[in-house]
Amino acid sequence: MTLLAESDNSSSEAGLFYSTWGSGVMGGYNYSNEIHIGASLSSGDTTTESEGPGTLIKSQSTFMTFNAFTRFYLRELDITDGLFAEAGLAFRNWNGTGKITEKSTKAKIASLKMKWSPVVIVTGVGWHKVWGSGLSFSVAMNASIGGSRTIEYTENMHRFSDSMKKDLEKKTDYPTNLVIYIGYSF
Amino acid sequence: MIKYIFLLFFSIFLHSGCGEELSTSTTDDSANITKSLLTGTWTAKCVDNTTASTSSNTVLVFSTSGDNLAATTTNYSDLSCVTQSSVLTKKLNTLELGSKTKTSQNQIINKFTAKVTDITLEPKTSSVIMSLNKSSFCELTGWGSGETSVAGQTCGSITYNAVNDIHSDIIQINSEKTFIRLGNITNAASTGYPKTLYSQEYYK
Repeated sequence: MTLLAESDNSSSEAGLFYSTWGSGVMGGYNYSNEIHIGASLSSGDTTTESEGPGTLIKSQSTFMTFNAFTRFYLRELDITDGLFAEAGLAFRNWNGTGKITEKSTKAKIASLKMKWSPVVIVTGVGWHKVWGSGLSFSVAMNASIGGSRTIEYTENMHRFSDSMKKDLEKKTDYPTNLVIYIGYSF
Repeated sequence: MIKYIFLLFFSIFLHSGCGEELSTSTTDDSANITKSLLTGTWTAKCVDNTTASTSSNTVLVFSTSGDNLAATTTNYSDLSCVTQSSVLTKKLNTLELGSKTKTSQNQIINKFTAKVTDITLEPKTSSVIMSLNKSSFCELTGWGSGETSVAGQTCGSITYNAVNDIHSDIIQINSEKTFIRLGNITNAASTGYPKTLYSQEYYK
C-alpha cells in the first residue's frame, strides 16, 4: 500500500468527482509532500415536481461552483497519512425557483426565488490515497463559511405559513459538501 | 507547522457548516378585490349530481356600483344543465368589502357582508310545482309558476336568511383575476363568516 507523495513522485493529478454541490472535474498540484494546491469546477441541478392536496409544486435549482483550495496533509504518523485539512474559496452561481399552482385551474398560488452569495470560504477535512498505478481517490467533507442566501417569497392566492417557510429554508440549505473523487496521478 | 495549519483548518471546519446567513422577503402579489373588479357577471361551471341525476349552475351578478349581488342557482333535472327544474335567487344589497385577510388554511381572502333583500325559489315545470305543493316545501302550499320568497323559511335541511339579515361571506380571487370563489356557508365560524372556501370557481 502506497500513499500520496511518499511513494509516488507525480506532481499533478486530475479526475472527476461527485459532491452534494454537483459533479465535475478536479485537478491539483503537489507543491510539496504536505501541501497540495487544487481547483475544481462543478455543476449540478435539481428539478422536483410533487403534488399536494389540489396543488402542483415544481422547483428547480442550479449550482455552478468553482473552488480553489489548498490542502495540508498530516504525514508524520502512518495512521494519519492521507488525512488532510483544506481551505479555499468557492465562486458560485447558485439559483433556485419554486412555484405552486392549482391543479384544477392552473392558477398561480405562490412562488419563490432563491439566490446564494457568489463567494464563500470553504474548509474541510478528508482522506486521500494514490495507488501505485496512479489511481487516485479521495473523500472529503467540506463546509462553507461566510455565505448568505436570500429567499423571495411571492404570495398569489395563499400565504406561506411560518412552518412552511422554515421547512423550505431547511431543505434548501447546503452548508456542507461531501466530495468523492476518483482521478489519475501523473 | 503543517500540523498546526491542519488543526486550524480542522477547528474552523468544526465551527462552520451551521448554515448560511439567510434573508427573506415576502411580496403580496395577490389581486386586490374591489367592487369595480367584481362588477359584472361571474358564471360557475355545471355541477352534476350523479346520485340524484341532477345538475346545477350558479351565476353571480354584481351590479355596476358593486353594491348589489344576485346569486342565481339554476337546478336541472338532468346531468348536463339542459332541462331547468327550479331557480333559486339570493338578492343582496349594501355590500361591504372587508380588507384582505386569510383563512385558517392560509388562503388569501376578503370578508364581505351584505344585507339580504330577498331569497326566491321559482319552479320551472308543472311537475316541480306539484311536488313542492305536495310536500309543502318551505312550509308553503301556494307554489305557482313565478318566484316565491323563501326568505326566513326552512326548506328541507336549509334555513334561509330572513329579509334584512346580514349575509356574511368570504371571497377569493386569483392573481390573474380570471375567477372568484365564495365561502362555504355551511361551514361558518362563530363570527358568522365561512371558515373555508367552496372549491367552485366563477369565471367572468
